[in-house]
Amino acid sequence: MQARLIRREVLPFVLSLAALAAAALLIDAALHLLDIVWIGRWLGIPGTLLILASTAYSLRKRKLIKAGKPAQLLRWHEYLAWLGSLLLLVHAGIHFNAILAWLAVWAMLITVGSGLTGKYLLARSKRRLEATRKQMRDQGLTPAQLADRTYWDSLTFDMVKRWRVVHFPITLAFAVLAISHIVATFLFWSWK
Amino acid sequence: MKRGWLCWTIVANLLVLVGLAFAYPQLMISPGPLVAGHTELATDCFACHTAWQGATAQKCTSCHALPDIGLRTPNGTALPQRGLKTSFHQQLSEQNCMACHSDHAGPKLTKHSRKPFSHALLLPAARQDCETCHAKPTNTMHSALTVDCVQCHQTDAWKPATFAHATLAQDTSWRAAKPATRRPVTRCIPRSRATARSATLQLPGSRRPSSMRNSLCWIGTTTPLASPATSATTTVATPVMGVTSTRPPTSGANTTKKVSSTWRIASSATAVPAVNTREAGVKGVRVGTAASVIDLPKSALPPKSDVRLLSDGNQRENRKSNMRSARWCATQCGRARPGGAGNVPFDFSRRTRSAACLFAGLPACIASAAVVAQRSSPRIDKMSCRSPSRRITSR
Repeated sequence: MQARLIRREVLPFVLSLAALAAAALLIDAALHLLDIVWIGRWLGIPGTLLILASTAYSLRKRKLIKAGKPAQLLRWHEYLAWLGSLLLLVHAGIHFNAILAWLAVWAMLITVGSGLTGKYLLARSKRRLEATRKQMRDQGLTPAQLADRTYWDSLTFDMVKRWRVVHFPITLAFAVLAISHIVATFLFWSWK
Repeated sequence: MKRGWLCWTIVANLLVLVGLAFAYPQLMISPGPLVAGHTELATDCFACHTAWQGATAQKCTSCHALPDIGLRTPNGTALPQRGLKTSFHQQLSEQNCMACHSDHAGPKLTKHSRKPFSHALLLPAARQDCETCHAKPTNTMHSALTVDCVQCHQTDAWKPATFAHATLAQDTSWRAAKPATRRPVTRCIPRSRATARSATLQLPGSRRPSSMRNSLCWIGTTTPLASPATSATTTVATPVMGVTSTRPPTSGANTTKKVSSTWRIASSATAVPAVNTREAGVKGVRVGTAASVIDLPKSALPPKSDVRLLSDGNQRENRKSNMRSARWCATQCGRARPGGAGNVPFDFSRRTRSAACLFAGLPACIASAAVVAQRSSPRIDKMSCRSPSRRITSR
């Protein structure tokens, strides 16, 4: 028996990321078709606020705040960050205007991707891999045979693990770039 | 340890990026390159922007003095005059440069939605004076007119336009051209200028008098004609139907005469200004002629006093008018006329009636009758039910 990590775990992860991209494209297209693109310009504000709200889990995890159940906060972290990212993607559109804002979008996408990695892949992959290994040991396979059979799954798991490490530092990059973008907007744009 | 290095790498990159934002703001922050005239300002954001306030008109006018805009450059060089459009910037109601101008070339996707100019920004006096910026149409419909364009046209677009015959009463050129006793009666165009669209309606060619063959005329109203056969009759000609309706003289109120010279007023010699509908550029209506359908301008419609189609929006009046329209349609299309069929003399030949119904659009008639039954009374399409109050007879 194989753990089948790619089909069972990687694909749902990719699909949830694709759903984010597809939803953003659909909303963006609708705004353009209805000629209400001005809404997209203002979606940056609710998107940022949602992502800020989602960081409650990160603060709770690092014991900077003490209220809230971590498990519940994690669920909110996922939902709010996904929705906030969606709004920010619509806000960004497929426009190549200022490099700073464009980099901020990429940093956000990498953050979301690494976050979804944590959600979908790590915990469940680990559980699956361990279950498979245990089953194989129960069948009386030697460690060498076991390592041979789970070679690809182990490799996938290691890559996933490395990807997960990116989540916090890249969030830092996203924060700095987004703040730069917001400051530049306040500095140069008139809110009229 | 590994993660520590990663963090430091990212922090270093961020510092470089933020530094780049200060060094190359035109790339890192600017939403697009500046217009050609401002290339030397590309790296100096605060030449136009005030910190925390955005771009302000004061910054623009510090270089571009208002009396000079459109006439000479900030250096004092005179600008070449471009056609009619002299500088109108001095006639603007407020100084809001950003309402029309953006120095950054914006995203290509949203470029089409920009509206670079709005007439609403002009002072009321300048807004009325269209000809300082726009050339007057040279076609025969417009060239002689002296009334303001805004009588018929809006400032946001040339079309759609509205036309009321009362407008002509204000027009000095029109009044000078027409004797007071004769009202504008007919719109004719030479057949060669008609724009054939499709042969959807075939009226019997033999019924067309020879005077009609060289021109297309579509409205006749209350003009006394010196016709031997109809000397006491006011002739109303509608080539749409291929028939002539007659209005009895006031002395013989209850009789309707047939008119022998049906198309008499249709000769090109007596035609009032010929209208090429393409030149006119006015939203028109479709009218069938002997072998074609052409687009006619709204000005070709009969005046209100004659056919009562151009209702003034009064709902009750609309409803009454629609009732008449529906009745008229019903009779023309061979349907039973409410209140007795024998009261109105109509003896269309089958073929002509079919053509009339085809043109008038039976569905439109039925729909309008249905509308009458409803409580709301929108106006009936002017061409689908042309003349509810006329008595119609055929040749």
